[in-house]
Amino acid sequence: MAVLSFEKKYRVRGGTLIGGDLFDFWVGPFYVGFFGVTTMFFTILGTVLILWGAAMGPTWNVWQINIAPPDISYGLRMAPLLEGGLWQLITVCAIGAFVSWALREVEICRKLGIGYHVPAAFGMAIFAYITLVVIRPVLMGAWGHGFPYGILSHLDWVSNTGYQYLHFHYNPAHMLAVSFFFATTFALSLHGALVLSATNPGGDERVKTAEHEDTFFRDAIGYSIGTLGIHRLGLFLALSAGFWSAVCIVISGPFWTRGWPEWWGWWLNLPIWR
Amino acid sequence: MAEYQNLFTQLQVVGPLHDGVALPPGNSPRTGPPFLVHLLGRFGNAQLGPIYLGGLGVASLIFGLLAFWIIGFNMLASVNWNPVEFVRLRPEPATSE
Repeated sequence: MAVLSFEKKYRVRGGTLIGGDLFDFWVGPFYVGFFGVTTMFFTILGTVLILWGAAMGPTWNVWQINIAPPDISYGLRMAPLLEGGLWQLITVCAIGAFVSWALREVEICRKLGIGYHVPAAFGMAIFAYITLVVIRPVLMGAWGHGFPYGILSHLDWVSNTGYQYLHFHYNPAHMLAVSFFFATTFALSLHGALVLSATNPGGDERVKTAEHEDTFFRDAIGYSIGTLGIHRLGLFLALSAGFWSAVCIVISGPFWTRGWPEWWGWWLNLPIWR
Repeated sequence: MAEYQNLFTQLQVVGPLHDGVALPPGNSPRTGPPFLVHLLGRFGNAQLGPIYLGGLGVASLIFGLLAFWIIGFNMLASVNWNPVEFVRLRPEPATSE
């Protein structure tokens, strides 16, 4: 990968959180740093553990390889490697790799003197993952409530977990999360299309400006949020989608154990219309 | 350090309002003079309006309101024209309960 000519002046020393100058260097286009080393450590170890688990399992069919969490009877204890202990170690490696990656992003932000928006946003994704495999299992008292690591097996887990609550779409936090996911794709498609339409006007037309973009949305809906605002909106929508996803699964079990349609009884039985 | 780590616009620069890029000849004029809303300016642009309706804009408002009307009155009919049940059931199909 080519290094851009102006990139050299951004390759400044310092800004590291830990390790001082020890790992403060680049390999090709990639910044390393202490957390680059820990990212590689956890990624390689976790991948090897997955491969070993697959080798101990019954199949090499990539769709069917499955590394399951321990049985519920193990509670929150460590399990033997081939009975869920691998899943526990792989979870530790995954969290180690994700958090290392986020902290490496923080170091890069510090070198560039920019805000921490990117690592903060990635932190929401890490939070959602940790909610699934740590927070909810701990609240429910067994690592066995985490989801299995496998392509088809994790789909089965999502389906089974959803049907345990009869109709998961009645979960109010799930409603919010789904709405935010749709709103995110909607906002990104409008933003992408608007920028491309202004920069590719077609024919002999000159490239248009932000004024044209503002005018399009004012003409269409009476308001244009603007060039900075659309990115704030996009970040808000995307982080909200991840946040409410985490909420909707962490309340299923620790907070509500029956069917989600039943939860709405409070509304149907409000005193004002009883 | 934390000075520039802001999520919202801290200082709003107020300039002349824009009516928008000039419309081609023969178009209807834009509707509603633009004005500033301070709270909108905290997040994005402060300017609200104008809007362009034109013949198709008016037609889409008419059809949209018509659809809203038809759907809403069918929902109201499904709860036997009871406005309290309309809000309570939001309204659910008549098979519930």
